[in-house]
Amino acid sequence: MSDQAQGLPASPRRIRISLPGSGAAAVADLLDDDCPDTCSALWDLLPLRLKATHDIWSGHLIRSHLEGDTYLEPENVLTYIPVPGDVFYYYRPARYYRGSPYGRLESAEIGIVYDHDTRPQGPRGPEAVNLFAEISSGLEELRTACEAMIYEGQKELIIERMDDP
Amino acid sequence: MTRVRIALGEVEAFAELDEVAAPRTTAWLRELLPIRNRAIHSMENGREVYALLDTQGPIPEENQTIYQCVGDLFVYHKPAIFVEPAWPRHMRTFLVIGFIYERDSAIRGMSGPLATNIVGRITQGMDALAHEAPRMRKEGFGEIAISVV
Repeated sequence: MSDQAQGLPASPRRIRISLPGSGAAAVADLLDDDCPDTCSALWDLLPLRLKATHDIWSGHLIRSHLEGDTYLEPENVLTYIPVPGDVFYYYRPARYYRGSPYGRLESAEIGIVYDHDTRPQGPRGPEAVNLFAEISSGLEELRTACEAMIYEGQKELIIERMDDP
Repeated sequence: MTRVRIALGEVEAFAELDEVAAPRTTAWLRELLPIRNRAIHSMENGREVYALLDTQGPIPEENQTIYQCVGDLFVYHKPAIFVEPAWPRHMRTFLVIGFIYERDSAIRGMSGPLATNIVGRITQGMDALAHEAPRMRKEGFGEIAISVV
């Protein structure tokens, strides 16, 4: 009998986040209750195979650009101090910043916070992001791999479904 | 005026030390040169490249600003958390030398802007540095070397 059939809370949908080049992998729980539209939209895009780059504004986080610049409405908006393990979606409209940062006039991104003292921000200051998942295991090894990216450059990032509900 | 060469990865640039505005810091820096160390891209300040210095100073508070410009060559104490995140979070810093290669960047600490000692101005090769730094961000960082010409 399923958890729901027994009156228990449904288990969260889970995603696997991995950096295959460094062997690091983590599991994150989707925040379906707080951020349903973002979770559903991103779930439908999985699996994703992306280039991850270390952020240069925000502290300890990596980010990857979504091809097609998928636009999602603000939801479960996090504007300030995230905690390690937070996974978010961020959309930057065209000409929001000077020029084309990362070669992109507009951008949709997924960000992963791997350590404290981090705040999503850009040239104009803190930015609001959609907090849609929290890493529940594997953060420590992911942290080591993410930190190395500031020295080693981009790495391949894979985000995939752990299980279908 | 002392001229220094900055070699970053596959490119080079030249800077002039500002011995008038920062006489003590530039004298201290000249004693330290040549420097060769791993180049590191900022993870918190925007388009900044820096290198750790093999000393903790002290350096005087001299020719300081929180409004760094593209081409400024500066030294300051960077919070250790942005160099070695695993370190404890009490007040530990690394003394670094760095520059900003594109505008809209600002040096910050844990609680806001950080004043940096401007020790010189990059007068030649800034475009090359601004091209090389993003390339190294993608492909991995190599060395930076700074020496008196």
